[in-house]
Amino acid sequence: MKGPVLVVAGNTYREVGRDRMLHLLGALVVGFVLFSWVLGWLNPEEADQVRHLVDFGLAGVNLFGLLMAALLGSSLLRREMERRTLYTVLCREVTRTEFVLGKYLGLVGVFATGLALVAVLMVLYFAIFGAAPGWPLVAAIYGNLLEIAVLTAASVLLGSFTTPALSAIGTVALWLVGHNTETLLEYLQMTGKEALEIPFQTLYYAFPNLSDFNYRLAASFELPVPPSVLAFATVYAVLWVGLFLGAASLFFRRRELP
Amino acid sequence: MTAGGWAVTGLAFAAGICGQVLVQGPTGRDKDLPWIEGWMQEDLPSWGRGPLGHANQVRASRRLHAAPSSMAFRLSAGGVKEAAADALWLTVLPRLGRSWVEPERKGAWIEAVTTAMTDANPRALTPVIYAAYFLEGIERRHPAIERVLERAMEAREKAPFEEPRRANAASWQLPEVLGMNLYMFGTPEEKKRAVLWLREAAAMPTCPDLVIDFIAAFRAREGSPLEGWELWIHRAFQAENPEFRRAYLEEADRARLAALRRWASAAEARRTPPAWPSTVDEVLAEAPEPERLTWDSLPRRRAAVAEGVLLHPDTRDIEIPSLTARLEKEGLEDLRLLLRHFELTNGRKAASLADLDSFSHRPVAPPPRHGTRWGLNPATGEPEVVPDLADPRSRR
Repeated sequence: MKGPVLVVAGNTYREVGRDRMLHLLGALVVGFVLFSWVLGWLNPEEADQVRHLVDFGLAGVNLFGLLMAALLGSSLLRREMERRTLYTVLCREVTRTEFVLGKYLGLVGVFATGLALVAVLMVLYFAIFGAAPGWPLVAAIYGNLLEIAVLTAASVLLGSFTTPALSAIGTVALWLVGHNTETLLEYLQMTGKEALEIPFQTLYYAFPNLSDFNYRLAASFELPVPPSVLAFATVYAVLWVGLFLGAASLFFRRRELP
Repeated sequence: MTAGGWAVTGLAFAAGICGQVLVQGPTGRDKDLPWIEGWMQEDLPSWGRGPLGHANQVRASRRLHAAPSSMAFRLSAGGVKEAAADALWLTVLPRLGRSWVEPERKGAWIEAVTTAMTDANPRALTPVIYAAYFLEGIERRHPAIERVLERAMEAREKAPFEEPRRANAASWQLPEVLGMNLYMFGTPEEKKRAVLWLREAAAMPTCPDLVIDFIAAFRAREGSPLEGWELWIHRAFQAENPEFRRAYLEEADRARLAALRRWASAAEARRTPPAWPSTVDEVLAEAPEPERLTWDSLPRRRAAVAEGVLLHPDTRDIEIPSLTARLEKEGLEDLRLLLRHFELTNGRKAASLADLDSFSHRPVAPPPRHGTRWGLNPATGEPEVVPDLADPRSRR
């Protein structure tokens, strides 16, 4: 017999899978990947055309993944409350923590399925133009999935105590900060401004370092991605997801339902 | 929106402004302007683009294109820095060739955008190479050429995973372009630095052989005849494919033999009456002084230069037997192919090698041993090496 988490996850998977916004964003991802050839073609150097193709394709996946995490993750709990479907679930033997976990797993499951489809499309599409990124491309898409998983967890956390709009903005802000913590430290080293040391180092340690999930450079230049790096990134993502979902569950348990 | 929401938004906005001010630093606002006007005209746009140096100068000039600050560009690009750098490159590309009223400002603009691109995507080489060429078009020894290329070389080392990793297949181009620029247009002092950069380029496994040949030739002219030998040996030890390694070692031997032949000729001229040296020591005594001085501290280097060398005073020859055998084999193979080509084209076998003279082909170098020439065995129709007492190489 399935546990309550899996039941909620399965329902969420089916529900989100039917969401029109997901279909729209999915179509945009595919469109962007296909359009990336045009951007690559604009480059005068033939060797760079394929690289641009991979760069733009993976960047599109990352951007639309961010949008999906921000838009769908932020309204995940709010929608259940507004539709009052939450009551029918919680009156059974399902705790709020299990509900949050199930909703999250269902959503990430949809993203994983979507990314797997996009990965197949990209490998085939890139192969037409002579690119054979192989394992680095798979690693880059897996890194994207880990990043989206962390951002979705953050989005669910923000959505558990604030409005969907603010939650979406916060998720995008987290994406910006998470990808720039290393840049800020580099800036610190470059300028030696001591006044910025504490705030920048706080940012560095307080936010997930999303650059750890970025293997897009490796994919476009066909650099090897060591499995140990992927393993580390997976553990790192799981820890952040656990932290965000734990906090989300805490907020959601204390939340007064309308 | 709830009060909490407004508070969070306000705090985020304030933090963003503070961050920008801290990151960008003072912008040198014109004191005569009312502060609000100055803020609107200068400070506010400066937060969006332009760091402290060149980009600010560029921005101050009208009719110039945007030059994003490297830091602001990276911060705003978030997780898609590489693609953002590519997109910036695509917007910059059509403007590179345009003529500008103030070329020095164009130089500053090229430097600013190239820096932003390099920092966002450290492995993209084409923008840097293009930037160097267009800067060279503005001024042959434009100071920004060195800055742009050195920054790209430094950035090249910054790649994911914090581990030693292979360079770009084409990254030899960065030191090569810089070295060539310094060599062709630089002062004598800069030409010395050019050698260092060109050596760095030549040491990379993907660097074309032509670069090594070029460095070897001009270094030989400058009194360092063994430069090519060293570079080929360096490359041989980098090669993983044993076939490539053998080929590179052969090239090293060729370079060594060329230097030894020059020294042997010098030793011959020094003797009265002129006579081909009979010992390797006599040949090595003609090496340039800087080279001989290194042998005092590195006796194994001297031994390596003399390794396997045979002298033939009767034919005025000096050889490295393993190299001779390989060159002979290659020459015979070339001739076999040519003879086959001749047969297929003319419908008959060549009666002698003289038949090939009327045949358009890549000339085959004479056999490596002095006192020999290529011949055609009439019985077998196969090329061979035959003694040739009339070989001009054997006579002084």
